[in-house]
Amino acid sequence: MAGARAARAQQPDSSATDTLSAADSAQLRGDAERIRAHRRPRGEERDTAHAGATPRAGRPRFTRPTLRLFAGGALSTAYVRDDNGTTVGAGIAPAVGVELATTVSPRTALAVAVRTSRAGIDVEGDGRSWDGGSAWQTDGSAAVERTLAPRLALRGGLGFAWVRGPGDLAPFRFNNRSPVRPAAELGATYALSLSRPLAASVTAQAYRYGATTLADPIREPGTVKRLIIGVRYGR
Amino acid sequence: MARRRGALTCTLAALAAVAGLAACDAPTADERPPGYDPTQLTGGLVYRWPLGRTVAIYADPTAAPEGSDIRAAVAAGAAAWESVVFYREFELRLVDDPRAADVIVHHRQAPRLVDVMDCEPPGVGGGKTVFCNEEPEAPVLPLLDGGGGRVKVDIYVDYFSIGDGVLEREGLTRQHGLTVLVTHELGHALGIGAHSEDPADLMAPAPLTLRPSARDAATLRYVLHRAPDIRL
Repeated sequence: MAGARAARAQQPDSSATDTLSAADSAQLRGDAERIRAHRRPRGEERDTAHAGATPRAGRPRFTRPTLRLFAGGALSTAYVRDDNGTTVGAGIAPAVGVELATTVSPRTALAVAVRTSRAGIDVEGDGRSWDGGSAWQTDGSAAVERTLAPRLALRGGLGFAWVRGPGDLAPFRFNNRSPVRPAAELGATYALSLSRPLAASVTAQAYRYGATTLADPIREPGTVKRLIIGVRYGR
Repeated sequence: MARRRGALTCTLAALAAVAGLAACDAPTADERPPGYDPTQLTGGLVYRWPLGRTVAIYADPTAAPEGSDIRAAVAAGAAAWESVVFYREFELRLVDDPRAADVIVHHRQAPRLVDVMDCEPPGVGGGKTVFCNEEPEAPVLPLLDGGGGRVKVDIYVDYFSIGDGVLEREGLTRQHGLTVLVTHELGHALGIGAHSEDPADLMAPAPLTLRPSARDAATLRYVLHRAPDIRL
């Protein structure tokens, strides 16, 4: 008796569940249709609307920018080589950076990056080496990144290098009046993990340097090249 | 297939760009000639301090004429010479103890603190720089008070050697005159073993300028990058 009452008591609940399930299913079907319609390429829509029109290539869709962080070190070629035997160069420079990236296609991303580093300056000549102080370099760049393999991506960018060094040392004492130089860079990233957005990063950067004032002893501008190696975190 | 070809093209383009960057020249500076022969007074011998060296200078205030400040004159002269070199080849630092000094600058009227042995060249003037020109390294001039020390160059200057009329004509004070003399002698102490024939140069025999000229600067920079016959 008690069992039958319990069964009757459960019955309305059972019907309510079925009703709700049916309603949910209908709503889900509707949602799915809406999603499918939303995902349909615009070119396809236009084909339907204007039969016989040529399909247009899909325009790039910019995803919401993501933040990436970088930490590593930079090695640089000489800032100047004087024919009298003196070379001004930089030691290993710790570097940190941040960038905003947006995906424009499944394999292509655009990134805007800022990176800064501080290097000890070594002056060499006469078989000796002495301290030249330290120099800061801040880089800004806009880059295109292309994924070549699940873990590997190449990137190339253009931007500027802003170099500040000791005011009593060439070439900085002459270049500090216009420390911003156009710079180009090429790089590659290799995903260290597929589950986390951690990647090893290698970037080669180059910018022209020298001959900014009449008094500048560097009469022949040259290219300063840097190799920046580190890890990047962020999608 | 097309995708693989695109990736290959990208990789090759990147490698070509890296190779192109690597092939570019570094910024370079020409070797520049001296303003005048820096070895006129040393029989062709080049002398200088090792590059990158901090040269300690003791400015001796003993017997200072009233109104003179030899320490200020040395500081101004050191700053003037430091400003004309490109690569921090030396740093000049004032010290308070003659035992820690590489160079002593004093008034002519003051007794010397070091034994200059037989190294003093003949003649008198408004200032004189003395060191022993022995190859390959100049010996230490021992301190008279207890010996030792590390002094290699002794400089004296005569506060009254530039006449009042000359100072007035040039618009200089007597302290300016002292600074001119000290800066000139510091030029000798740094490696310019010569006098310029151009009276506008600081290293002219009777200088009247507070700062090294472009010719003085070029001469010092030239000396600093020649192999020295005598190391200070």
